[in-house]
Amino acid sequence: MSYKIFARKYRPQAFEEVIGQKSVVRTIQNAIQTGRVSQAYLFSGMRGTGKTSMARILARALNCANGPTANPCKIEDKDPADDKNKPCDYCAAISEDRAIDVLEIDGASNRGIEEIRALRESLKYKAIYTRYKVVIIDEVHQITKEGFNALLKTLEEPPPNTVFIFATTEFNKVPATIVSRCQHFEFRKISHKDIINHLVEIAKKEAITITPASLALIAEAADGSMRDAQSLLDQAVAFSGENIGDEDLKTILGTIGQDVLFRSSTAVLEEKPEDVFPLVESVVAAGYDLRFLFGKLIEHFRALLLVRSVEKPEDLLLASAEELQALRVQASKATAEDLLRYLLALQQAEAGLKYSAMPRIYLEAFLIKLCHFRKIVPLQELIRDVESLKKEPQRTLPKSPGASPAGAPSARGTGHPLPAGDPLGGPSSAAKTAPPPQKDVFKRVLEKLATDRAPLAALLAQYSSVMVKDNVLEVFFASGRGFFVTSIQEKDIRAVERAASEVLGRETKVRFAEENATDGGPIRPGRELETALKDPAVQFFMNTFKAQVLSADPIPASREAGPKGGGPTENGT
Amino acid sequence: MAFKDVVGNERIKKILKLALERTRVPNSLLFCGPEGVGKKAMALTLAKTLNCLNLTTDSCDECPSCEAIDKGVHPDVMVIAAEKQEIKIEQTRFLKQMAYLRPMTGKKRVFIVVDAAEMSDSAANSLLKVLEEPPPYSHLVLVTASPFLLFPTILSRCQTLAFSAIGREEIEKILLERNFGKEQARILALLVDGNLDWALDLEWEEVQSLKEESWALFEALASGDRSALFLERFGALAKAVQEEFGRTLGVFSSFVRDILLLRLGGDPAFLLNPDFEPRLRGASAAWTVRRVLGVLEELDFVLAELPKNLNKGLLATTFFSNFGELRHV
Repeated sequence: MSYKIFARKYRPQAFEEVIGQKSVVRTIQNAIQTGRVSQAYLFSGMRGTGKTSMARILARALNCANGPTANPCKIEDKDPADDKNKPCDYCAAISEDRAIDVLEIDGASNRGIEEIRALRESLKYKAIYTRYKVVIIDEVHQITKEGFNALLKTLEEPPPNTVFIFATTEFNKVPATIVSRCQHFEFRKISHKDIINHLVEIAKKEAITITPASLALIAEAADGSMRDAQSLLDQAVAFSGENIGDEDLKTILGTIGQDVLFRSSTAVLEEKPEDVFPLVESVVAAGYDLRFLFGKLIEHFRALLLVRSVEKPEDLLLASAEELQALRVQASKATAEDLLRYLLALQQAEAGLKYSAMPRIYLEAFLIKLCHFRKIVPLQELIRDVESLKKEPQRTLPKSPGASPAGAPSARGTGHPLPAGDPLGGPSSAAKTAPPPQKDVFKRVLEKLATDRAPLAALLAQYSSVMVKDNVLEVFFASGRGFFVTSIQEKDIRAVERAASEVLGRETKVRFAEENATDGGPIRPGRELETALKDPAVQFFMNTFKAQVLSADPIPASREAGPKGGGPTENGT
Repeated sequence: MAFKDVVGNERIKKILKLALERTRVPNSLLFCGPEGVGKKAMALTLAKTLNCLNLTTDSCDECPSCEAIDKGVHPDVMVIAAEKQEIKIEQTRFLKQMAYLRPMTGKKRVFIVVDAAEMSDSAANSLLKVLEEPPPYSHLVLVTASPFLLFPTILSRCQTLAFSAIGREEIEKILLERNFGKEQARILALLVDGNLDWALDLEWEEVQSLKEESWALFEALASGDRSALFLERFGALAKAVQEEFGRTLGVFSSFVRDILLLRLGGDPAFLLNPDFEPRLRGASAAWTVRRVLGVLEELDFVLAELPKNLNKGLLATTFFSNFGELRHV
């Protein structure tokens, strides 16, 4: 007989053999025994948990010659010598996939409405050979919307003795109307213990020697999927024959040595960016997958955080006493807050590494960024800075951008680390607070109005300047646009007043006016900056030199106040 | 080529040979690993061996079957690749249909899906059943550089063989055999970063001129006063220049990365461009760590976006202006 991989060879053939799904097995067995078999079942759960196997066993249980029975005939892998253990014709036919009344359909290839219509057509006829007509649709999530809808009526009231079994890994893609017509069973991840026990059994039958440590490694890598575990065991046998060494297995799994992880975290925690290069070089030279390393790094930093913040990490961490000690020493070098920040940054950068064209350089640059992370000022401090800036007289220079730390990540891109306190947010938000707050007040008023009085807000947005004086908010429109003022009605004013009072936190009156039509008339005190900004000369200057006006000071008794107000420039070329 | 002619990845060869000896080659295989390390070549060799008329654990390259596969006309060996952007469900459906038919002339049917990650979602899903329970006479080999883009349901159905990048020394050795000088071989091996296909494609003069040209552009871009050179070259990106643009940016990345290394006082032995060390050292003075990291991020962004269906000229211009902005940090 040709070679079969373990996952197929050891596919469960009886309800008892389905591992880790006790509640599902029991429910279905009881249903069969009490003759309450549902017309449609939906099995969902992650890969390798036994959905398809369960569907096939159920099909046999319903159609077995002794059945419907909770214990259908045993299917042996090889032809049984004596007739006693031979499965009944029905079970044999079904297990060999030649029973005409048990349809196993690949939902991913037969997904259109045409295929479903053909299926419905075939359901008109009763089972010819066996007791039940069983329709198994695997990967049912791939059926199109129309296909599902075409099934609805049949699924609700199928012909007698017809059972549907759907299996899928993506339950969320199955429409609710289908789900509500089915008995839904959720297949759980299989526990490490169950996986290990099953692998031990296979190893016994196949005369494979393997250490418990290796089995634990496989179980962990399989992450709850029996098929993954069996595939890995298969691979191990293919690689090293019947005697599987721990080292061989590590090669197959590509396990990365703890020392590499510790070296990386040391470089980061001790802020030694120059150490990153030899480290990455050694990983690349060893032929490790950098993305895999990155995943391990995330786990490593999680372990550090855990050790740092939990009193008894032993219960939550699979690590030897030595490793734990090493982790403790490392973790003590940083605060839990820092570690959390590293961890978050790592997680955010993972996707970036996946799609990076030059993963090696990406990884190096990222680790170096982490080395500089501690220099980042916490968000609270930044906010405090901003607050103190606000309290100072309005027209002071915002802190120069140089104040934010070197090596801080920039804000662009999705996969790039952006720690809780974006350091670049500092200077720019400080700059935003520099212009007179009155404008901000009115902006917030506008935002409030925009929700329920959108037209009014749009009209008001044409304003040119505002001024808050005591309890009066004055809104000015540019000269020559006085028609805006006249078009504002009494009730509009009241709405604006309400919003303004809310924003300012005190009873406020609102007045609208057109600006002085006289060109270059006396500049209102407190509005030098706006006037200056409107001046064509200043605008020309700003456009040419990419400058920002930071402050404007009135020059007494001079009309040149505006143009000369172009303050110190920033970003000038 | 027989197994011995496929360079590197001794481990994979050992596994396949063992499996061939015991006639237990898995029917669903996944070859994953970096670009240009011989995954497809290995898959084809496996296909030849499975069908070879003379040998059982290697291909003889002489029998009609081996020759037919080499020419790509063997009726039982199919290579499936994306016709346009993705591998369509029609292609995988055809594959499935063929997979359930017995081999026509050979011993086994072998299907090689190149760049399997380019399968559309529905195409990938339609392969699930056949990957799970392939007929004994059909072998499916999925080849991809990015296995993480495949569904976990596909991964769990395949036996994965992870290829690793070809070691630098091995590439150097191969290059030395191809009459490159020692120093040249070293520099080239550093450049290709384990991508053997690329290494075999290289001409020394070409590489030198690529690096020199990149350096000139890079310097112009970095200094600012002659940065327009870059735009002149790539601003209006014609189809033909696109690939060059990517390669130039790749070289840029290695320059910037080396500047970072020098800037941080790292060991010069780890430079990717040892031949440019004096120049890099000269340039590194003007770079802050922050700017380097910013530029690397930009480069990574552009390189990741480049294969997508975007306005390439616009991408180049964006890069240009962002690079300029970063001069001030």
